[in-house]
Amino acid sequence: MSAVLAAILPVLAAVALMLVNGVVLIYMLRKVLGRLHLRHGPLNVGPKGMVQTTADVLKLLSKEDVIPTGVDRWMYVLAPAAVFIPSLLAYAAIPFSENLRITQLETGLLFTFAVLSLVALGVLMAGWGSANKWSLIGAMRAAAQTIAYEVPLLLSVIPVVMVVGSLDLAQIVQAQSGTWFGIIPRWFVFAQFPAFAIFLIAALAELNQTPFDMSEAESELVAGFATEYSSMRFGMLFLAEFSNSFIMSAIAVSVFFGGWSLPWVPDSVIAPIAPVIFVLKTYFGIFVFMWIRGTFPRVRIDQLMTLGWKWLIPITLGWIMLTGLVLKLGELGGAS
Amino acid sequence: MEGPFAWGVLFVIGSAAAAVAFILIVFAANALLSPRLPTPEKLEPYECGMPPAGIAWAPVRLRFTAIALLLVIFDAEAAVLFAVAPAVKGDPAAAAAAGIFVALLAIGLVYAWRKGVLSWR
Repeated sequence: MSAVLAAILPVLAAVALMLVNGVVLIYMLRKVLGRLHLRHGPLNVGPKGMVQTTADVLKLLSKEDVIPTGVDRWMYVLAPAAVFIPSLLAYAAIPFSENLRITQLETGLLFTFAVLSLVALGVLMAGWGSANKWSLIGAMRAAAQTIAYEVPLLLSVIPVVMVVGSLDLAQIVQAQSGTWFGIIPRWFVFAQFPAFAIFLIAALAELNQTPFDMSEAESELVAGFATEYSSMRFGMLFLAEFSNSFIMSAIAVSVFFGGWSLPWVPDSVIAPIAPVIFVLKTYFGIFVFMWIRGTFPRVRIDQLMTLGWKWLIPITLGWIMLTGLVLKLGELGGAS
Repeated sequence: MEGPFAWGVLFVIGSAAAAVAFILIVFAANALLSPRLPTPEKLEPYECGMPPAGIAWAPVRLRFTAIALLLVIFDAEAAVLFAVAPAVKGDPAAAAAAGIFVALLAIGLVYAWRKGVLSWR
């Protein structure tokens, strides 16, 4: 019985975490964007508008689920699930602390990217199934964009994997403990800065975030692939979207920013509050995404494709070769 | 199947099942709480309030078929590199082989570039 419970609890925790993330992140987005626009954001429901998103979720639950005539019914109905399920699975390998993980996966990094890439399929299903021109154009743009940026995203973390020698996210975090010269933390964002820059750009594009948000550009396409969705189906699509930005930020934190560790602080102090540090770092990453969203204009699709294929991929390939070469030379130097 | 791998697979199946259960619960709650008042206008596809013109599934020009092929190649490359990368620190011959593999694909990218596949016309 306890084994079953031990198996079920982490899954429930993942669902709960995803819901809380969705509610908190939407509130945070509205507040942050509000501040960036010199407005207040939500104010009225609860203290400082904090209960606003909870109220929104309850409202979505009680709204009529309008399924337009002429939709491809199976695709339309299944699309929110096809977006939601991989988004939940992606929580599996995130290392909140040394021991606190939903499941122990030796190939955690690869697994997370693999399930996240399934989200694009759900988006395409939603766009095609809706039988709406806005939806279709939005989904097509999303597909083209995901195709172009998947490769640099995957390739950008490979140098780090080569240095660490493991795909396990917890081991990648452990490899970043300590400091150089007693000052600079051993985070890969310093040693692998080009890889991080490419990761950030590609992650923004994969998340369909500004400046790469052509797939749901409000001023052009109504709401992109989500145009025809209402009530909780719409809620699912958006919950998954916010949850994905949490996942992407969590990967960035664990691969490039030392995960749950803090520089200059001994491990005995960190150990009890490790998950808190991890979540705070992740939320800071999301804040940066929102900051970019409130600041940058949208790029054009041809600029997007040029950037992805003609700049990011060659640079990452070169950086992988360079890192490999330096590693090998270091080994030879160490051996002789 | 034993050990951590089996646990991983079990976890994936379990959480997919949990996700499905969650979705079913949410939609059931939605169905109980929400009204059902369909009208012909409400069920029209949204086209800014105008009567929809033609069908949405009109042929679209996929400018990225060649790019999609490239994606398949480079995704396969990334998958192989993910398998090789943790071992780069070990055997020099294997690392060299991985390097040659990356170089070959880079030549392929240059070829596609010269053929004009990568420009969005």
